[in-house]
Amino acid sequence: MERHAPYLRRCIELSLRAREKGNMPFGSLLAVDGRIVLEGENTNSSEGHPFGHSEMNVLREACQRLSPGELQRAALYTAVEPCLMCCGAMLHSGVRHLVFGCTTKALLERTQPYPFIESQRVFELLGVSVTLEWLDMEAEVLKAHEGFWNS
Amino acid sequence: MERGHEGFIRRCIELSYQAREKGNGPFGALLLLNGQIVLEAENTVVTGKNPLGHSELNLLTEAVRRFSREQLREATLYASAEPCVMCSGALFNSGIRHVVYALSAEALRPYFPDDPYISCRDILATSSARIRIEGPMLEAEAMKAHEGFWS
Repeated sequence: MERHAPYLRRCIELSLRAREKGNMPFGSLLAVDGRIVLEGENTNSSEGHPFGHSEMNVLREACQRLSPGELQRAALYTAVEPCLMCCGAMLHSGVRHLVFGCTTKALLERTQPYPFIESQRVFELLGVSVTLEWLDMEAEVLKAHEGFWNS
Repeated sequence: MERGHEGFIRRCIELSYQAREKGNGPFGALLLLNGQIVLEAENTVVTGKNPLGHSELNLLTEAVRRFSREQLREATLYASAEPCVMCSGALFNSGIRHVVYALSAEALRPYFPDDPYISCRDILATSSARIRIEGPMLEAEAMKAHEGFWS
């Protein structure tokens, strides 16, 4: 599990970069055979689009640039657990490995209540075999969100 | 079935034929706002070389750009088939609270035996958002657009 930490730290950096641009503090990346091949930030405000989730941005690009074989071997790293739409996009892209550093539940406890569905539950319901790893980096991840949602 | 839906569902079926003529998967969707069709979309998976180019996601991506959240709360998404997980997630994120579809995911299942399957009803039921879901309806008509396409 510890081998995942540097990738998630990079996702946190990307979250902070998104925030500097006035976007929501979310960042993701895609690694193939341990190598980072794509990075993405949230673009909700800068592109004026509420579907500009960092995971969606990475996956859309990945589908264009990577081969099916690469997508199959890829791991999607994301600071915060992905939403339902992004879980679905991951499934359609062929990516079957997900690693995140903070649950949506933990984030929402500090921000605002919002209906959500746990990613694990999504994959369970679908009966898809996805390697889902949660590394507890909650404190580090949530630092990027400090003062963002209440201001 | 509410009679008022039929015309809009038939239009979605027409859009699915249009998509098919271009080589794409036979799927179509439209958005109804205040009784008017304000947006239409087709599947673009093949022509856009994008596995995420579902008609519903294409429609919703444009819808959130063009309409306010308040407007979308009153809108209805019509689709020629039951939305997948990704599109259900996008629907959920868009703020639209009403979806009507023709073909059930169950009916299409024989065409996609290896795909993860779930009804959008089941997946959306796991969230606390109240989304009104109507369908299936006019399944035989909608299925005709798929005949001979997937084999």
